[in-house]
Amino acid sequence: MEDVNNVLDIAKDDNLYGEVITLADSTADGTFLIHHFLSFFLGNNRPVCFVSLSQSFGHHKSVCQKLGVSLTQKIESSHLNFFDGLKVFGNRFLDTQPENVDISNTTSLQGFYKAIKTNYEDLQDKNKAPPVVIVDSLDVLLNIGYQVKEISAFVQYLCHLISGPGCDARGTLITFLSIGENGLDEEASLLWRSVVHMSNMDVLVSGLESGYCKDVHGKIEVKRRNLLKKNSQKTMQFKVNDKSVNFFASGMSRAVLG
Amino acid sequence: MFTFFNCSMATTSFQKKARVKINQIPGTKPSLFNNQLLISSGVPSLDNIIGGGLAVGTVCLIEEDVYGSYSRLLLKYFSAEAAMTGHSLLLASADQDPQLIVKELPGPILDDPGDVTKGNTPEQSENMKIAWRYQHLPASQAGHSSSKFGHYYDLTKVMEPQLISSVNPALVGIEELERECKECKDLNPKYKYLLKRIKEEIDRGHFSTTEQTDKRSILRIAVHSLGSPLWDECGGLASNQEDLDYSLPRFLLALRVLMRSAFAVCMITIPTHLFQIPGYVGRLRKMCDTVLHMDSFAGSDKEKNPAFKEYHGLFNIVQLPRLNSLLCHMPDTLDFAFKLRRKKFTIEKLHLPPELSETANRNQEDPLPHLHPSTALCSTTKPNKLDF
Repeated sequence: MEDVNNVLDIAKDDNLYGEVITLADSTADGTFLIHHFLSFFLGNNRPVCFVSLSQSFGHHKSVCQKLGVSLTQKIESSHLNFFDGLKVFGNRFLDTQPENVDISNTTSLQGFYKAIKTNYEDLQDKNKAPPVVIVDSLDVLLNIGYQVKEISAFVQYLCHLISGPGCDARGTLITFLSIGENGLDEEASLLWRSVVHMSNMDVLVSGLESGYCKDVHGKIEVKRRNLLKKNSQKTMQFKVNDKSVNFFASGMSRAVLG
Repeated sequence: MFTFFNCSMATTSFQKKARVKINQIPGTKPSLFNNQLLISSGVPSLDNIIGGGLAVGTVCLIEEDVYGSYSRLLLKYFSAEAAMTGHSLLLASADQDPQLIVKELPGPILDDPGDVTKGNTPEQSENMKIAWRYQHLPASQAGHSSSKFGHYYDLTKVMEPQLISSVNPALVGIEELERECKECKDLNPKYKYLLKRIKEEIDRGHFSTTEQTDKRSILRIAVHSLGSPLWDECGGLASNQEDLDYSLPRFLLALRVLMRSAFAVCMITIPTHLFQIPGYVGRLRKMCDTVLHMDSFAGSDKEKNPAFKEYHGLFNIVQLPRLNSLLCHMPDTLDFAFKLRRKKFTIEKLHLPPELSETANRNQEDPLPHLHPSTALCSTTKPNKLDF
């Protein structure tokens, strides 16, 4: 979605090699950002290793179809590897054995990391461009009992995974997490801060302080670490539509201005 | 009046969008927004505010009011709707005997104008002095009441036992939970057993999306007061009172996996006021799809507040699911109130009564008497007392 790229100061052909981006939402739903990045990278022919922990494949497929990307086609052409984390972790509590992922250890995410690493390297072999890893979303891991320390170590391993030897061989890492209402969930806030510490760009989607509004769904704050090149911080309000997202400066919504 | 609006929608917008196969599941309809398959929650006023109904494959969480009576009522409506539409039902409760809950399901109101059993065409064309534009449309959906979406119930009547047993509900009570649950280190044993039972019901009734079956139906799963002390839940705390007990979020994750691949809808009520750990309830909400919060006035000083005179409690939409699209249904407001009349339970937008002091000069003339609200529509032939 072009508007989202504008807000994040990403050009249409930006590679984002070696970048680590953290997406978070608190009181509003920010998952449109995941679908934006999915369609953006797949549209630019970057291979994507998508780890989905909170929604099923069908949901992502339908949304991406509206944005013009066919996930099934990308899987067939080895541009996309979809890791159904929801099933893998959920099935553990349903007593169904996971196929090739070792998550029997309830405190360590090593088995999970190894599975993602295998998929990443597989994509790397089959494609020229370095892959992108998108994780949606880390708070599921927190909810089912993994400690903050463990999850942030997992993200650190992923950062290491994407940083290959040369400048061009570095992949991109995008993680999403929900931190709940401001400050209420201490562990989630702690996890968010430790993941932001490892990232170049941090995006936070939150609801308006005045409460729910049908025309202005929330506000988005973008912070960049790369102070030399681009603007370091930006805040805008947004409204999500069926196939796009409209952004406007605070208070400038069409509904408010009349 | 409601049935006329329903069938006018059915003949215009839905037939074109929906695939023929899905249309054949009784008691379901595709959503206006994103073609999602919906079922009725049993309370039509609730269906309207959440975007048409509950989406198939999702989990609806009702955060209970303090005494739990109104949330139990919502579950009863949900279960009663199963009998009216021919859907299957699994009802689990540790606090009350599910047999008792099932015996107390409200009886359906069968004599509204859309019912085919009483439909007499000449009688109905007489009624259409006002709704004459709809005269050419069929009086109700073709077929008997099981194809209708959303039914009205009379709380003074009880559903007939034959109707309930036609559904053959699976009931899980405290004795079964205590007897059959097995030791488990990952998860509270009772939750684990409930998951097992739900999976069994899905498999037994062929509700899984991967199975091909001729007669598609929906499984309604109603879980009453999950997370109450009778489920061995300690408000989210583990037995050492210091660590968190992750059983409930794990249960919800596994439940989501089961729901996403089944033609089923789960409605759970949780007494969230018993969970005092900050942020914990927020996590539970994230693990469910639709989240609604009930707050009854019983026993609080809001009961005496004249602004809430007509209502029995507040009803908030906390979260609506975002399924298969970028956008979820965005209602005008998230704050509603509910009232329990003798026969009906309705949820509506909170209307505060006008401020009337003794000295206020109130203009009794209604400048546009023929545009009075719909309740007066059927009786404009009678003189309105307020008209001068």
